[in-house]
Amino acid sequence: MEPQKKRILVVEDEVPMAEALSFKLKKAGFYATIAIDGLQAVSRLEKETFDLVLLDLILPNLDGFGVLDAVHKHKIRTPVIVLSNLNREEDIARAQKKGAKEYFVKANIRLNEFIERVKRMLNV
Amino acid sequence: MNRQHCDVFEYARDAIFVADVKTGIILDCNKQAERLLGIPKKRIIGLHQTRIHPKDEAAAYRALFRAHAKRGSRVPCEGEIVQKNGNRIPVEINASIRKDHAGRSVVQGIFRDISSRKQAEEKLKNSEIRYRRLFETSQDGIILMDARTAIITDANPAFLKLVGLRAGNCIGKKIWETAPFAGSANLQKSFRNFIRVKKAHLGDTLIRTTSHKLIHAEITCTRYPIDGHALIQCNVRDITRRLLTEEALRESNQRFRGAFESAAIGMALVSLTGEWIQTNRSLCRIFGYREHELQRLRFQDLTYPDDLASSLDQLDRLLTGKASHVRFEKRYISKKKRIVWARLNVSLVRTAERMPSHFVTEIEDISEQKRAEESSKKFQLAVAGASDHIIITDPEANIVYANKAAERITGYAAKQMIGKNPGALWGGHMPKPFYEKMWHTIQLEKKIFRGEVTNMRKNGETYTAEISVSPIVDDAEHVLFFVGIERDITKAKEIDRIKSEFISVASHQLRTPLSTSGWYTEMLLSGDAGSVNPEQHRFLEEVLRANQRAVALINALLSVSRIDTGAMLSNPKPTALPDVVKSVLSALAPLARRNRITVHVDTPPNFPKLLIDPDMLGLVLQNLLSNAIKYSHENGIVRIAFSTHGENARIRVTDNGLGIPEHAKERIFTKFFRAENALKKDPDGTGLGLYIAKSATELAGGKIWFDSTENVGTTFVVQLPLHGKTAARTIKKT
Repeated sequence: MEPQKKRILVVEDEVPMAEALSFKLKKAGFYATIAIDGLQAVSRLEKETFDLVLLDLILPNLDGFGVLDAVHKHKIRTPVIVLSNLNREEDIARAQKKGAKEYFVKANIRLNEFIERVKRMLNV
Repeated sequence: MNRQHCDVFEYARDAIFVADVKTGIILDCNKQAERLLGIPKKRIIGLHQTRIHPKDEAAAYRALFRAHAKRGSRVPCEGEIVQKNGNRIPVEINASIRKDHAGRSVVQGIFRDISSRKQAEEKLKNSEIRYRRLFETSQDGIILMDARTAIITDANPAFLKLVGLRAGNCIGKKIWETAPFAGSANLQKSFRNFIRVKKAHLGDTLIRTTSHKLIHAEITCTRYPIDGHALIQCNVRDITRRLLTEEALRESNQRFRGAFESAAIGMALVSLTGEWIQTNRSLCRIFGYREHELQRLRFQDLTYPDDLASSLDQLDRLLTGKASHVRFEKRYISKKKRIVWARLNVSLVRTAERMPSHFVTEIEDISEQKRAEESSKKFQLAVAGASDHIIITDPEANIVYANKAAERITGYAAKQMIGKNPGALWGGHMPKPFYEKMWHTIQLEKKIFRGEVTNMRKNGETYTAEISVSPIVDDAEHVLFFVGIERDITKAKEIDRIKSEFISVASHQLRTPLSTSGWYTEMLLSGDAGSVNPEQHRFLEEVLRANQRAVALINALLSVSRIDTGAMLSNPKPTALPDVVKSVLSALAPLARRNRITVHVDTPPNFPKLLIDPDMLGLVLQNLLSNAIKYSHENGIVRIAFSTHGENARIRVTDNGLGIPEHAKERIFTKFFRAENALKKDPDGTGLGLYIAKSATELAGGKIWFDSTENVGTTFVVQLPLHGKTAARTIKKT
């Protein structure tokens, strides 16, 4: 583990997506690790420090909105980007209200473009 | 006494007592004496003669007997005897003195029962007293005169008072020499005739009193014999007042007849068996019959069959004296077989002997009123039974009426609501500006206010309602009352939410595999799994394009199904049009760049905000602008312009692109329709963009149209209400 690498937590229950993201992020020079449900994500966020969280909304055990609530509740300062296939205006507004920095609809954004956005956000 | 003598004594009609003059002891008596006293002879003999007379007058009888003892009675005297049962019988007594066979001086008293004569005398005396009293106190003037000489023998006080005379001025004079009769030649003639031929017509006569007052007198003369000569009694009655009363009565009768005939309501005299005895014009008009036709019918013939029994019951109340008049409503059938609703006022006229004579009936045609009542009853029932909550308040918003649905929805009973403000019951849970806007609309602008509110039921549960509050104003535009209609849309909202949720989840599930395959294709293309040759690269790009088309199709289908199922939730808020355009254009910027299209936006300064859901407006603009960009030639120009037209805002999107072929114009807004020139230029389009734009515009209460020439360009115009979907006029109460 290289200490200078930015740490990203990928919260995604869809394994192929999680792996694709993890693969591309690692290739882009980040440390990426996967949580496959909301509870796991909250527990890891409580114990470890991350530079960014990529959060899916539809998750087992605790959904993305619940994770956002927990982040707010535990005063975790890690920025959260929502990456979901929900694209209703009310879902987007709800996530932003709960503290999501950005909201991307997976089907509407190209993977490479998304990685570029992450890089820009973490000043890499 | 010889035998003959004995029989005369014994069977005489008078009672005979024989008493000793010296001792006064009764020595003998006859049968009639026994009958008169009611005592047997053997007990009479031996009594002292005073014992058969009243005890309290014994002294007077003793004096009488002393007188008789000397010389008998020269004239009969009257006295009384007392019978065994105590009754006192008046008797006439004749006494004579003689010697009996023993040489004793005896007095023989013959007693005649005069009780019946006494009674007749008493009666006559009484009748005379009564006549005199009548004569003296009579209201009529009475004069008595000799039938032969016509000389007045008496005049009563009423006569003297009537004509203003003193008794001395008339008694002893001939009647025609006496005031007031002296002044009238006719009267003199009549009196003379009456006396001569015992016949006269002396009916109503004007006579003049001594004070020169004229009075109407009714003079009646009666001739009758008294004490052997004829007497005339002449009664003079002042009928001046009676004549006046009769005149007044006649006038009043005429007036009644006039009023009866010309009365606006129907009037009739009805016999006890129901015949129309007399009817007025109004009644004929009400029933449509002529008077003579009506008089051949009975009220029973005209009464609506179902109402007959109750009508007869009402008349029974009059006949049995339970009521002096009755009021009730009933139906008749007119000549034209129409139902006539009538209000009746019936009284019973009785004869002087208190026997029922006939009915006086007033009949008012209330058919119109009944129809109006029925129609207003229908409205009342409709309002009362409506499924929407309906309340009526006074201009200060105090509830005066609440229907059943209002009770059901809010949980308050109507009587708990009356007099209270809805804000103090279920309302008052919205932000203050909401109510300020409502009051401004209904009170100042006098327009209907529509909105969606969150209210609270009595049990504390909140609910969502669509409300409309209408001011009802008079001609002077003063608010008379407000009508508030609420529809509980909590359930509808919940259904909408579930629909929206379902569509959202379904599209999420569709997108997930697409985005996975898209990303992996991208990774292959990026060489993340090793380098690909140019052919492989081209194939993978086709896969990726198809993937993106599928995503676009799903997005469009999502919008369509949200529109079609009503799951497109509208949250209107004041929205700045240029801001929405800017945000849509920024999303479309890559496309515009790729197609080398220039977009011009002409924003007039201070363009008003629209009351609209910004997402819905975004959907409209996104589809129109992406079309304009996609179907323009390279280096084309797309222009966006705004303007206001009355209560509406207009957005014009103009391109100088392909244009819409003439034959495609009719179907351009149809779902999945694509014109062939568009299909050629962009085979990937879904055919849903304009359908979505039109549907979203209409959901926002607007209209969309276009003007297009093939190969020249197209202008789409979207017109949207500035003040939101609802625009209504004030209701005026008529």
